[in-house]
Amino acid sequence: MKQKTCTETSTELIDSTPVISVGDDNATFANLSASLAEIRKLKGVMGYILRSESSAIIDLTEQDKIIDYAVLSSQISESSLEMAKQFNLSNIESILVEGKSVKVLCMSVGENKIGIFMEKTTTHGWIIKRILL
Amino acid sequence: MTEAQTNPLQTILDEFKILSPETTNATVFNNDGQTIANTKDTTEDQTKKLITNFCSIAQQAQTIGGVENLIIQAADNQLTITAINSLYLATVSSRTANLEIVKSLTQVVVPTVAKLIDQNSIVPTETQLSPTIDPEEQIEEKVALPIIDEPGIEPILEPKASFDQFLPFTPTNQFMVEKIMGLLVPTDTVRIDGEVMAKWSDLYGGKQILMVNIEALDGKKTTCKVKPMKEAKNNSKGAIQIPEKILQNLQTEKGKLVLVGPAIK
Repeated sequence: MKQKTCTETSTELIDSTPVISVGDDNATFANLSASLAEIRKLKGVMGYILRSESSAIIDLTEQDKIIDYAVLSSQISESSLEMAKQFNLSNIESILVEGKSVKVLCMSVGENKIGIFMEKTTTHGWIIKRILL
Repeated sequence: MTEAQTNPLQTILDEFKILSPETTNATVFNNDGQTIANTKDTTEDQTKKLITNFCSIAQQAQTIGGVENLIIQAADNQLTITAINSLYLATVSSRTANLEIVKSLTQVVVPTVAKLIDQNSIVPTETQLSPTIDPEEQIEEKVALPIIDEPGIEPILEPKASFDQFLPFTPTNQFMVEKIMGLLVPTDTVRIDGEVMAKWSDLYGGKQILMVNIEALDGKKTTCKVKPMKEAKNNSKGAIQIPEKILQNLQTEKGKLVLVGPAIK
């Protein structure tokens, strides 16, 4: 699996794994993309979305769900922030949403927002640790 | 939902503060967005905004089969929303709260009461079936009535919740490798979080877990002795402490991932 970063939107299909990269990088974004590429190899991890204000990387196995997953991770980040405000939760580390068979882990590192999609049985504890490393 | 149905849930939420003082807020709402029960410290505005935002997520989450659990972890506290049939239980608790008590309340007590309420709302009680008729009169009536072949109408009972759903799911976990060194460190023993070992032990009917199978990402495997970690830190949950010799066997290193499962004979 390869990832490509460029100034224009591009879509690649390598080994049936879609990777979409947009925009240029910053140091944190580059570090996170390297960590996520490693996390992506794990058993049960179905893919991830990493976005900052100027860049984005989408690597998801299920190509037909890219838009749904992108909207979902964005909604989770926004709505959770609102819920957290209501109950004075500060410095959010992670948001986990478990569905019937899939779970989504959302995290924010600076301006970068991450959404990792995985099977429900996958252990997510160390993923949080790996990203915060 | 009637008052009789919401009251038991309200009673339990009122007890939250006594049983788990670190749980600051708790709310039960249904999938129509209606509040069923609330702790006193939770304002109407808080509940309203919580439900609105949760519904926004739930709507988009249809793509992953709806929301069964939502956990927002902040530095000091966390907000959890758990689905219980057609209800949702939201709690805000400190991360220093006794997890056993919080889990008992949110994953056992409230779901059990909610299920009982659901069952009671469907199955009419015996007194409801014949509130005023004397049993002797009933028999006389039966004798007097002509016999008509009509199919008997029986209330449809909801299937009772199986205990299987409370069983732990998988005995294999992924851990991040940490190197363990020192003169007194046995070279044939790894250390993992004691809670994980306890879960495995429960899964195998209380059998003591003495050995584990470890598999590196490249497929290298080994079986070795296991002990719980001495210092149970928050960040030790996803880690496995492995001595140098076993690391060499597995051809792995600090920071890499391994799959670990109990080795039961």
